[in-house]
Amino acid sequence: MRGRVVRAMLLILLSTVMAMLISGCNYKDIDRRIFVVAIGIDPGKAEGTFKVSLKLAIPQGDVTKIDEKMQILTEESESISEALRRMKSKVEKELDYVHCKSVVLGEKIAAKDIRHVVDWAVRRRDIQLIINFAVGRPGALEVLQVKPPSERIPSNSLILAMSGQGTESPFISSVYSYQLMRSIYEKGIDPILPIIEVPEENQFLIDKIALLDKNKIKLVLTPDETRLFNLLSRSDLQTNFPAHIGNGMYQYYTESSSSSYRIVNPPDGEPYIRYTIKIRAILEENSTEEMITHQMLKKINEAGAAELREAVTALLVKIQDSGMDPLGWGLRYGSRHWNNATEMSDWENLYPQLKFQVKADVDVKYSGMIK
Amino acid sequence: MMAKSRYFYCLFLMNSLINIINFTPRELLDTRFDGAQSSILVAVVTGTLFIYLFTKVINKFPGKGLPEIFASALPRLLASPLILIYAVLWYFAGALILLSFVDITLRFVSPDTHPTAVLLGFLAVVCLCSRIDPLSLLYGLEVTLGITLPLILYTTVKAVVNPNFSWDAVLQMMTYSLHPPDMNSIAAATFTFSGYINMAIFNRVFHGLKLKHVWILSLEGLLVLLVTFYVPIGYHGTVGVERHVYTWFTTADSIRIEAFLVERMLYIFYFAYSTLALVSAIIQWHVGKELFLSQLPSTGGKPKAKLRREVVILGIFAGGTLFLMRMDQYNLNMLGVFLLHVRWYGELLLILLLFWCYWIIRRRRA
Amino acid sequence: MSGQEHKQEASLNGIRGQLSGFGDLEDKSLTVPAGQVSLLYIKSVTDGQAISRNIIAPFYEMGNPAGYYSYIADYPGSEVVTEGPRAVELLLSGYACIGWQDKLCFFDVLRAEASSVKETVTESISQGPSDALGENLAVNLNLIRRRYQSAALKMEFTVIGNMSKTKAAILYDEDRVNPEVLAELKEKLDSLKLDILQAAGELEKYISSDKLRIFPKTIVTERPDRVVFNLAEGKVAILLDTTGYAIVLPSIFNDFFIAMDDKIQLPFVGRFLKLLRILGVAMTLWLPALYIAFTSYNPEIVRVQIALLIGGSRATVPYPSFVEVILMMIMMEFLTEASLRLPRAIGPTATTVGGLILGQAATAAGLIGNIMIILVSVVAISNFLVPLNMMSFSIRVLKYFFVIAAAFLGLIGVVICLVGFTLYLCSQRSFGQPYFKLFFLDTIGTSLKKKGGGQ
Repeated sequence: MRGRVVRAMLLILLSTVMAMLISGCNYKDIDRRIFVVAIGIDPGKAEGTFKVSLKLAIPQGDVTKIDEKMQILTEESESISEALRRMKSKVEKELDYVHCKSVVLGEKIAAKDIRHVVDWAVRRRDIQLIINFAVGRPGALEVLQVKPPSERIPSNSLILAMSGQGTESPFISSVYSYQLMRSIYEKGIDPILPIIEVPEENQFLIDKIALLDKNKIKLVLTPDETRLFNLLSRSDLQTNFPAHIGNGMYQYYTESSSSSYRIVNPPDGEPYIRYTIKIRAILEENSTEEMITHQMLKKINEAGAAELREAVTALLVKIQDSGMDPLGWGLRYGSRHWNNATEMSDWENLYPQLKFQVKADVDVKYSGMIK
Repeated sequence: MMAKSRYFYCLFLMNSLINIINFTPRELLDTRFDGAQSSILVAVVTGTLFIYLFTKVINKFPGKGLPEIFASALPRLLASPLILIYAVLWYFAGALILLSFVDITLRFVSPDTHPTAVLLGFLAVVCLCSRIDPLSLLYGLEVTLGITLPLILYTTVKAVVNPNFSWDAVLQMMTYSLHPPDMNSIAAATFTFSGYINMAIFNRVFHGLKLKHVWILSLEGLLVLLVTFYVPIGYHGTVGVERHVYTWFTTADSIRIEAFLVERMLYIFYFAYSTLALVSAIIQWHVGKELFLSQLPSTGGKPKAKLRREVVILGIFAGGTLFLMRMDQYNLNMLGVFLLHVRWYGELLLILLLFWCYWIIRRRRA
Repeated sequence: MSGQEHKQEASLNGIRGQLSGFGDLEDKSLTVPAGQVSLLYIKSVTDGQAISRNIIAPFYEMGNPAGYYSYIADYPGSEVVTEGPRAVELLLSGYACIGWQDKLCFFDVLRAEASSVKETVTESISQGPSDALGENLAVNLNLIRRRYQSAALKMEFTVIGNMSKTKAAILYDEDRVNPEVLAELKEKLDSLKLDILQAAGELEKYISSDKLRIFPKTIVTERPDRVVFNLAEGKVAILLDTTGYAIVLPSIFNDFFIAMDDKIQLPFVGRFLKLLRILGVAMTLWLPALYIAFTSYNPEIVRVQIALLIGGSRATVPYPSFVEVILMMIMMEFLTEASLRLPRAIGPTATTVGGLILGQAATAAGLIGNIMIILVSVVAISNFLVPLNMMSFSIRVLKYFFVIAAAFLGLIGVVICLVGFTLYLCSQRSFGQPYFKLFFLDTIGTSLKKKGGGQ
């Protein structure tokens, strides 16, 4: 009995000592690390090089003070990893990427090829798969340098805005790296990326989406189109849409929204996509002095639906003309057809001739707090 | 004290959950365009059939483990090599789980820690715990399942309700289901069902296993396989999914938890699976150790002599695993796939052998 | 139970049969030349003085059994009984039985030990009985007999210790006890070679076989109601003379998390309290270890905001996190131990000085992070949610294993430790009973079966 105990203890002792010897050198406390919260990647001066910028968050001693400490490192090299390694010797602590939340690609990179960067970000083990990707305009470094006054934790505003946790702007669509990876390789869907602009110092603006043809930007949607795109691509978008009746302008706020579509390929007729958009809304703004009656609400519904239909159809045609498929129609087509060998070439032939039918169903339920 | 039949379900559940870690999803997803889905169906049928036959025949030997059954029915020259082969199989099954998990730990959780340190930590707990008696192991397994199952269910539900989950990709995948099944995938998918095989030793504490509702097992296995197969596709696409090494861990990494101290699902998933994987490795090595032990001459009930043997066997186990750590990612995968195949044939052979033993004993009695 | 089933007439032999195995049953014949009467009573619940004054002395003074019997029967509070069950009941509730010829008369000599019984100190509860076991074996037996008035409750006496000659009583409910447990216990007590036995905890140490164990396998309690509660569950209790604690065995892991006021609370409140205790144990075990894991190995696990907070609070701390944790935890242990030993009047002062001022000063000086102070207090408080001291002390020690594992391997260390201890707990047996498993599944199983059977 005693022998057993002694031996068990010896074994534990031995393994702990071994573990100590081996792991002792890798012990790195949290205060010896600097967290990289955002990475920006721009093309370097020389052809084929990268200018990598890191936004670092420095832990604060006194947490009660609202005093953000942030530092930006920049390094140029022909590979991203090399640039990162070189930056190690610019700071006294270990650079830690595990809390990195956003990768901003310079517009010039995104106009050329994003796959290299995406591959790097997904392959690296310490970078999460729920990292947000975006395009920075004019460059990634400019976006990283933005420091809004409301910010307490470095780059927090950027993180919150990009991931949609803070603001619920209808113009922002967040793209995680696994989504980007998925749509880069998937047949029948093309990637999109939000665009972050820096119109003024310490302020950013995210209200556009870039459509990519697997590897580079082909088309940039306007803010209005971006909102419509988001209406089509996700449910319960919180935004407002206009409805004009005569000279009067009304704005309704969408309480809930949903959209669905069907690809219809009748044997004797033209193929078309039928979009159905359903919106439940509250009236928010009224430019006339008229009271809103039930009759009026119905008119607003109709006018709003008509305007929405027109706008959405215009957007869909614009997307179709660009030849890209950001909403994944091709994948949908494939998922409803069993002829796996030929379905994708069928789709490619079909796509240019597609017509769009948009059925908008706007239902303004309330007139707001006043009639 | 005898084990209740409930613990049989625990053994089954353990294996079917653990299959998500490494080889099963990889094999299935590699053949996703060429018959993985039909293989899943075939695997559910064969897996259930194996379970049914095995429990039928093992019930004829209440309270007896594989060594005792073989010793009573087969000539020693045949029984010993067979048992040794099975012992090696069990050893490798446990070692592969450990090695996979060392690899996963280094990739996802502690890139800074030395691999040997992680493995030594695992080996310490596995070697110490695999010496525990089988009944206690079953209790422990049940407790572990009690801890991890809610977490795993949470992960699964959270994964599927994510609005970014691409159902179109899953449906697109389903349109590829009209392919003849593929042997690799069947071997991988049946692994989900092979938890019963640990009864080879654990039957020593079961007296008269009463198995009700075998269909629950096949339903659970089917669900697990479907989740294993389709959820990564929903996250990484029908094409992109092949680029990931540990598909399920990258899938868990793609899920965000909004309101919690921990933001990334990966760590909850990792916690649940590391716990389960350790217990599973403990159980595999316990079986392996018992099989080896049965082939050594009797110790005459001296605990000290038995202890010495166990230490030697487990020392060899641990040493072998340390040696196997020199394999790279691709070698490890090849070994894993090879083992999946061998295991499948091994199971088939085991069931046939048990029926043969039963036949011999009954004829002897008559 | 057999006596009750047959509805038999009350007879001395019937009573004797039912009360066999009662170590504290006194059975005497009082004889004078004119005849004799039998006197039966249970020593632990009766007042010896009252018996000698009111029963024995009059008998010899009168010298006439018939007259004596009528004297007894007419005495206020006495009762002549003809039914067997009633007779046993009365005996157990503190009556003495006087038998003359075939008649039985019961005479009230109940001893209530209210005055000498102290209040509970280590296991206080908010509502419910507050009697504690005292240091007198007879008093303790009285406390228990009064709460457990069943003929099935047996008491056996033995003496332990060559020098101390400590009297010990083994109590068990004959109908519910597991005979294997009883046999194992008796065997262990017989083989015990001790000179001095002074405390219940000491005996606990000797009768558990495993020398290197962390978890207690027998409950040491000062509450008679807990003893009674466990007796009803078929457990065995050992009461020692000269110690205010009883040992209850076999005790499994879950038993240590039952507080006696769980029964008093409303069902949901009781369940909530139980949940709190489990949470408390989880916190006290894991928090320090997780803190080390998060600060030193896996800062990626918590949100970036929290990581930065921890990083900020540790900015001035000059040593690695596990040194910080161990330092603070040891300090906390000093405080706990010191306040235990200090006189009651000074205890709170020490805690205040230690807890508040020391913590404040340590963070101000930058030796300890703010978050560490929160953590240590949570750990120290939640540790004492466990109702039984033995277990809460075990957990107090156990958390250091987790801390050490986390210091070496981070989160993986915690996982390894968790698996190891879960299996260790499961491998333990308390007198042959499984110490730890998912017991509630068993109860669900049996209750389902019962429902199925009822239909």
